[in-house]
Amino acid sequence: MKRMLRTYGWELLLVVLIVLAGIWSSFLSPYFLDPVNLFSSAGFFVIFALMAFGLFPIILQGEIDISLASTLAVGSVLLGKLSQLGFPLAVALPIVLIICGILGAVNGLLVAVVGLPSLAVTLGTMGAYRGIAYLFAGDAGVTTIPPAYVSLGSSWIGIVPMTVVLAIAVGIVFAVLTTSTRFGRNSYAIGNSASASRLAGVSVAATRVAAYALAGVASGLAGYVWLAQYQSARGDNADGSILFVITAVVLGGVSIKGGSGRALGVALAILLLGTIQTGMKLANIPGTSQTLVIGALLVGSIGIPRIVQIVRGRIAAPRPAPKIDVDVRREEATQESKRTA
Amino acid sequence: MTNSDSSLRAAAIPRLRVSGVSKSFEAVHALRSVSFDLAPGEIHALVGENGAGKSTLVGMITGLLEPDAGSLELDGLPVRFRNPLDARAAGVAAVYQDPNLFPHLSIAENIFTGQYPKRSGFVNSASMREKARQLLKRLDFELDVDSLVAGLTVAESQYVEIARALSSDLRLLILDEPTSALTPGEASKLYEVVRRLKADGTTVVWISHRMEEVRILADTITVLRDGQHVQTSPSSELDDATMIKLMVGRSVTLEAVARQDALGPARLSVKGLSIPGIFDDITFDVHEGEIVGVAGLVGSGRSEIAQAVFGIGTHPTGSVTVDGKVVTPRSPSQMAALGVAYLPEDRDADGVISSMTIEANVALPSLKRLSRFGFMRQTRERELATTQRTALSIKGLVGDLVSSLSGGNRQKVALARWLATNPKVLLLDEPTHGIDVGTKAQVHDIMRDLARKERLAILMISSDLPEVLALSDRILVISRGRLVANIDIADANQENVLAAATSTRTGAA
Amino acid sequence: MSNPTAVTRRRLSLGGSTSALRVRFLGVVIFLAILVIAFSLLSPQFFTLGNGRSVLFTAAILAIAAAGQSLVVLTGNLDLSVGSIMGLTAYVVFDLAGKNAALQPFVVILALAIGALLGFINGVFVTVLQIPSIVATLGTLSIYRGFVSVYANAKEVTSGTLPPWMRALATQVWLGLPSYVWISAVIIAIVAVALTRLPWGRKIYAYGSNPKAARFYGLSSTRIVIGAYVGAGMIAAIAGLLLGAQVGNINSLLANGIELQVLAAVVIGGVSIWGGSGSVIGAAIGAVVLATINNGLVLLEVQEFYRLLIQGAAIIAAVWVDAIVQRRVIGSGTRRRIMEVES
Repeated sequence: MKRMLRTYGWELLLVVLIVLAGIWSSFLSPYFLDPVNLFSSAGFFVIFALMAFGLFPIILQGEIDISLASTLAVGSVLLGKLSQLGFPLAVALPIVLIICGILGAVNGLLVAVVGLPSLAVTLGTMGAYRGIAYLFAGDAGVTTIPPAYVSLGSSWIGIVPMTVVLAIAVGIVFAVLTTSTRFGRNSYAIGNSASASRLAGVSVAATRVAAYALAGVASGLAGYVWLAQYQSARGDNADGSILFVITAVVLGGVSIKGGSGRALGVALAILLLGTIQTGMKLANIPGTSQTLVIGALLVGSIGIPRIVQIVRGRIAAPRPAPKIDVDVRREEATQESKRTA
Repeated sequence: MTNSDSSLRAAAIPRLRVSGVSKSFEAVHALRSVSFDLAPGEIHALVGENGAGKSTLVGMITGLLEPDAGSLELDGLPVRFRNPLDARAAGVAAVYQDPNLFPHLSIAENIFTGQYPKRSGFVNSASMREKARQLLKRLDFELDVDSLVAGLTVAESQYVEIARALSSDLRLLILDEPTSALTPGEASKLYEVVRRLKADGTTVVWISHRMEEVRILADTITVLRDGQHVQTSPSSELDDATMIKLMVGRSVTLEAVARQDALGPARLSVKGLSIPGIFDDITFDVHEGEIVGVAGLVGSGRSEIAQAVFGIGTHPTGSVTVDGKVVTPRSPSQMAALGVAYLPEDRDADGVISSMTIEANVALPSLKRLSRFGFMRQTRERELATTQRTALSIKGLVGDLVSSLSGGNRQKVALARWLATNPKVLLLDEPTHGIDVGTKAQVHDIMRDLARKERLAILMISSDLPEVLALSDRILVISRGRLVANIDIADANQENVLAAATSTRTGAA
Repeated sequence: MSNPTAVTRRRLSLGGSTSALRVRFLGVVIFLAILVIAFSLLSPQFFTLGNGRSVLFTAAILAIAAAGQSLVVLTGNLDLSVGSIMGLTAYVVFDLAGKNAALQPFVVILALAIGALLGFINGVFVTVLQIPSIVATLGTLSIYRGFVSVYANAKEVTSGTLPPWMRALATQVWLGLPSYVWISAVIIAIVAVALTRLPWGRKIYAYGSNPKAARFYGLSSTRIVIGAYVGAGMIAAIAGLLLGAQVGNINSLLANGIELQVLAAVVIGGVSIWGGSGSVIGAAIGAVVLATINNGLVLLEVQEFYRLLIQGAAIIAAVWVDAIVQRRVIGSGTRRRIMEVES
């Protein structure tokens, strides 16, 4: 039990917060706890959830990708175009997913093989991919989508929207991928120490490229959900949503430095953010004000444990003299190998 | 300077008195109650093998490390520096083999960072450059103070560090193996500088392995061995042979166990391996069932050779043959697939991933074998970890984090994860460094078993001479990137190995 | 210099890293020149005085924000909250000045104080709480923006509350150039001098170049990094004020999303993402490059996607160059030479 608490402490905390947020929301509106309302609100967060799951292994490996929302736009627009050209969904969707996977892999190659910093690379491709989306969409975007393509957005299993089922399925896929596959093991190892992983015979570059490609595919899938939900696609789809996605992953307990975190945490974080946003919507708090709470959660989730640690340290012992490590070369060597790896 | 002041008291009061200083890291005693004096205005050589405790002592003098026991007196006053800045303020500075500078900034700025000459709040760069020029001139060194540190050679970077030390009133300057990365020309220039500092009244501590430079420079020599002070005497009273004897004369000698079985075919053959500036024309074989010891000073290129064979870093020229197949080492994963394993020297940073469990560490190089269609077979994984844990008697459960283990057990984990891959060739870099005596003996037994029972070919790099002599069937000695000796175990002893390792020129031993 | 020949020899033998750093700066300038020439050939309206003014006017505020951002990037960190600081400062200052006319003469000081406070909060999060800067400032991006939104309560405020001289600035032309261009130039010059001449600035460079060595030199990472964030916050606040004055009626969304533009300008301008090298002038040129791309492509009536593609490619090219330079700089200083190289 104690071990369980220690291992899943973060997830439990998120569950408690979700319950609290749920109680608060049900005070704000009696409709909140209505299952139909609950699930249809959940549908709104599926797009973010898919991107967050995709981003999760990348952050697990200690990197970042801020281009995912642009990849989503490419996916939705391209799928829309293909639908108008008369392709059946079963053909168009794989094509779109493959293309989005390639876009992700390009990021991965620039990061892992060329050795560029991931933030800067994906800042660049964020613009470039958005550009590709506009290229396909034109100014008008894509409207009048054939029904086969949008049926996902309006089908339900019982009271559960199909999209929510899809998100849960993708979540499970990423959970399995990170816990029970070679890719997952490699990802955790790389996030903990890329240089040590390399010395253990792990193909660091290949694993990184795979993570980026997967994130691209997940974003492409999110693009499909977008098209199905909104029945149109434009070049500016999901613009600016990446900050929300990163917040979800970090709030889910995935260390931004890499090496720890679980898919379950990411799922719970999405749930928490969803509950809070839905609740605040019910309370008529405008969207931009909601970010105050979300930002505070993000900073607090890392900052508060650190404050506790500092306070405890102050009480326990007087400050020890700062330790300085002589071996600068080692650090530089690892930086270097990180870069070249 | 403190010149006139200190020379008055020179006879009576030492510049630095080290009394009863001890320091342990985990189970290892790095220093045991070391006491000796440094006179004002002398060049004092500190010699000893790798691991004798020289660096630990320097760390303690400059405030990098805190002694467990003992005290320091600077010019008669007790001092305890909390950090290198404190020490520097008191006129005590150390210059390391690897300079600690700001690569993007100019030389002048590196010298004065944190203590800029100012004019009405602004950095007075004209005065800063002028002062920097003067300091370098005092060292008789021509460097454009405006050029970036990034472009400097190691020697030049050391001058910048020395100049920085000079910028405050310098009483004690410690040079930690300063010439190991210098050319002979650069080195003799440094000798001049050190002599000039001595003439100014600064005490210089010169840490080196090189007999001939200790001989020409030092007024006094202190020998450390196994963390203990052996002797301090004027250099005139100590000849080379005695000095080597004092350095190696260990109380502990390890029992060698004679090999029974004949060697098998060559598993690893290296021919003419070179990386310009790092090592040159290295040729050796390691046979099935053989342990080849690699001796040489730290920084002689030993590790780089092993790393090159394992596909890390710059790709070498020359040929590497594994099991009769010529290969070009490109990456660790490629070499691991061929049955070559490498245990890095820096165990905690590179050898294991200490924030992960024993099980995850052991499984890491074997993931391919432990998975089917990319999915892990978790029972197999657990089995593998358990088997290895038992085989190497690793203390701790397979689910424990490696960070919770002692150094010795971490090393066993590092070894276990490679043994789990059934390698043919093991490259071990300082396999017992920083490990307590009991575990060390265990690791030695494991290595012997691996070579003799499992018929692995083992290349073992070690700074611990008794270990090399006790375990090896053959000893390669590397000095300054060259293979200077290839000695059969029957002909090897501590003296001839150390003499070869400390020789500057090729052809020794 | 006592021995000019020795110095010349050194300069020559230096080769690698010094010139690598220079090449990177020149690279931005050359890229800008190529853009200008290309657009001039493609569009007759591009190389005109009026259009040049317009490019610089667009670049002015971005360049100011980029100057602030480069302080933080030089320490090896990031400030994603720059847009939120701009928006918050402008809104709060306009609102306070509107409610209390006595504050009107002090709007600039008020803005600087708010910017300093917000920057200080960022700095504390990054140093004391050790939150990686990307997460910390992503958090404050949301918090600051959320705060304005709550504060604004869906109302707009107007630059009419500003003193008249300040409102007039947005449209004034001094010596042939928009006043904002001059203000921007002055701010950039101040930051450049502070970075190159003040101990404060030199320490930022030193810390960014080698944080580990900085500790050996007795530099306090906490003070340096917080100092950089406070400086960045103050500069962002001024940028926000100017943007607000230009826009006129502002709501809580002023400068929303500008952070990525600002970061792009800094990276294109050759400030190393690893910290320790680059210049604020470079960052300003980076802003001009972005403005030129926008302007030129609008004149060519090219669609949005070209602009985004070119901008994205420019960012990646810039970090690629940065990576090569960084490898040279780090590699040359610390590569060990084990063997004797006979000269």
